[in-house]
Amino acid sequence: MSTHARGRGGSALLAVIAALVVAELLVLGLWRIAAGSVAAARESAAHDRMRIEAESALRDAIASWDEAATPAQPAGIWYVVPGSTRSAGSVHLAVEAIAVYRGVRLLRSTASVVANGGVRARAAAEASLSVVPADEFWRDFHSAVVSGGDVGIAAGDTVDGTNAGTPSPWTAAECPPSALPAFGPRPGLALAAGANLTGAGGTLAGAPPLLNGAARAAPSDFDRVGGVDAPDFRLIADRFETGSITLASASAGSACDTGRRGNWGEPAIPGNPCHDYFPIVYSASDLSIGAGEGQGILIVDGNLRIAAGVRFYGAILVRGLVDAAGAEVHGSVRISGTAGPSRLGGAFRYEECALERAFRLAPGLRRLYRVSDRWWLPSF
Amino acid sequence: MFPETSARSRPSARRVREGAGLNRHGPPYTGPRDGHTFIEVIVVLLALSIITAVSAASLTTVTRLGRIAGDEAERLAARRTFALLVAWEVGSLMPGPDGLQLSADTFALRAFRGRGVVCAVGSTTRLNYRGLRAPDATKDSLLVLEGRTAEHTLPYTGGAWSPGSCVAPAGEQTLEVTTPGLDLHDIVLFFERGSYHIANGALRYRRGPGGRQPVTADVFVPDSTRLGLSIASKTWGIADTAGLDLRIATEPVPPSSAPSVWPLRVPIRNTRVPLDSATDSAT
Repeated sequence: MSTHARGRGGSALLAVIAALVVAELLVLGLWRIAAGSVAAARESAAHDRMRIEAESALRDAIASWDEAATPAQPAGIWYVVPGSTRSAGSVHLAVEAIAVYRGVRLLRSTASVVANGGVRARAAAEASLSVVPADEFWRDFHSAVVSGGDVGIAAGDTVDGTNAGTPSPWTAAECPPSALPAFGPRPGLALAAGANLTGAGGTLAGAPPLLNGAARAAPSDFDRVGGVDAPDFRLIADRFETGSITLASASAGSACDTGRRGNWGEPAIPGNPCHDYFPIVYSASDLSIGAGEGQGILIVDGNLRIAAGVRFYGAILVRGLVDAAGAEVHGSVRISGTAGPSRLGGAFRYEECALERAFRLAPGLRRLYRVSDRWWLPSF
Repeated sequence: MFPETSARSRPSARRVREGAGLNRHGPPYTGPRDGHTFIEVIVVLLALSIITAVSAASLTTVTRLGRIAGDEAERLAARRTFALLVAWEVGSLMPGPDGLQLSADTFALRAFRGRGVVCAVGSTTRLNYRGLRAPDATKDSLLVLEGRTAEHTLPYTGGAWSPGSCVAPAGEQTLEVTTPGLDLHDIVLFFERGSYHIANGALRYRRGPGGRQPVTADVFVPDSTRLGLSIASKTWGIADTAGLDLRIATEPVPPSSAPSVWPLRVPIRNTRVPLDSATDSAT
């Protein structure tokens, strides 16, 4: 009888244990569901983050691209973009590039992570962009003045293609002979077929002083510069100007204040913070330069007026007419306007030293720009 | 049963039973406990019933909550898939040349499925390929990006893997293609024509004239989920952009009776602003 009593005493305990087991199973099931959800959420979050990281890394690489600082790479071979590889915690970023056509670069950024819990995620982004081949600029700016329309030169005016020496006050420090193409004498005034020289008494010099039926002087040739189509001029520009402007360099301490209106560099003072600043200046309409000095590459989608005393070093493309009186241009000028004669008052000299500095130092020619509308590519 | 004692000193049965568990000085009482088994059974049954009821209620509640959570997770996952997929497909399109056609619940496009860079030309043309799937001559065409020539399309006539014939970077395979007209270092995109539809509550994809295959769960509210094209001058240094406006509405989450709406703008990066239609529009 005593044995019987002890056996009955455990049934409640068994029931409690069973209930606890059921409760435990419920809790375990919930935990597994929650753990699965957390793992899925982590994976999604990691993937989304890598996608953003990859796109950001690609944009960073594009924004900070400096073609002059990139070692020359053979076409068709992928290389890691200098300075693009970095790790932040468990995230690894890298940007690779491959040179394909002339100037065109295909860029690919990848971001990967191995996060806590073994979550792995990887994403990529690709873009096709281009740098402007400087030799295209040399081909376009082949004479002191290239014009698609009539040009007028009056007594005392000079168009000189002799390409002799270094423009004052520059020295060999600005233009070491080894950096120059050493073209020798170039044409002075190069006119498109059908364009005429008007006026009398001015000085033409070069080889030859006057070239009729010149190359790269047809109307369509002025729709591109350096291989860049007219609609894309603004994409390579460093500065946007329009209306009337007075040129004056501006510096803040030892840095050139490139944000200041009218600061097109400081050609006259070697050692000035703006002495090596050669901006690509784009004007979407008529532009009038009232006074001062500047340097760089000037593109005007309209007419250009240059007042007496203005000095400019570099290349000028005018998709309209030029009206200059007493100006001084060191470099080369292209004029497309056919609506009337352009008036070249002053001195226009072909100087490869000025052109070389402009083509080498212009920030816009060291960056990547969108070569066609399709630049952001699907990434796989 | 008890030894002979006086009535005063003889313990009562109750005291003996109580003393069985408490008396540390005498032997425990181990005699019969007649008449109480039924009550204990009742108590145990009652306890079991309560535990069972509570467990069943808990199980029901947990199951219901789990189903609600699962449904919500499914809705969120479908919404995310919708947004990511559309962003990926549309983000690299050129709306005009790529034939982007929009209606409120459909968009048709060139769906890019791979990219190649031509690495060898001559007797054979080879390219290094990476993509979502292997190229398929029955599905794919080629878009040759602007380079030596203007951008143009070519039919993809077929190819075969040719490992080792070009130096292929990690993640890419060399493909020998039979399509003529490719130049060295051409960048080539493989694409198929396809369209996405919001139908029967799910986002579905149709390649060419084929059937529509669901790519998400059927959690969208067709009347409230819409697509629209937006044009805006968002300039960030490289390009102006336009965008595809999404209004993704998923089924109501109880106790709400209204669809859960998620507006989103997907940038179309390969577009200059303004487009042909120069005003903000939604189609």
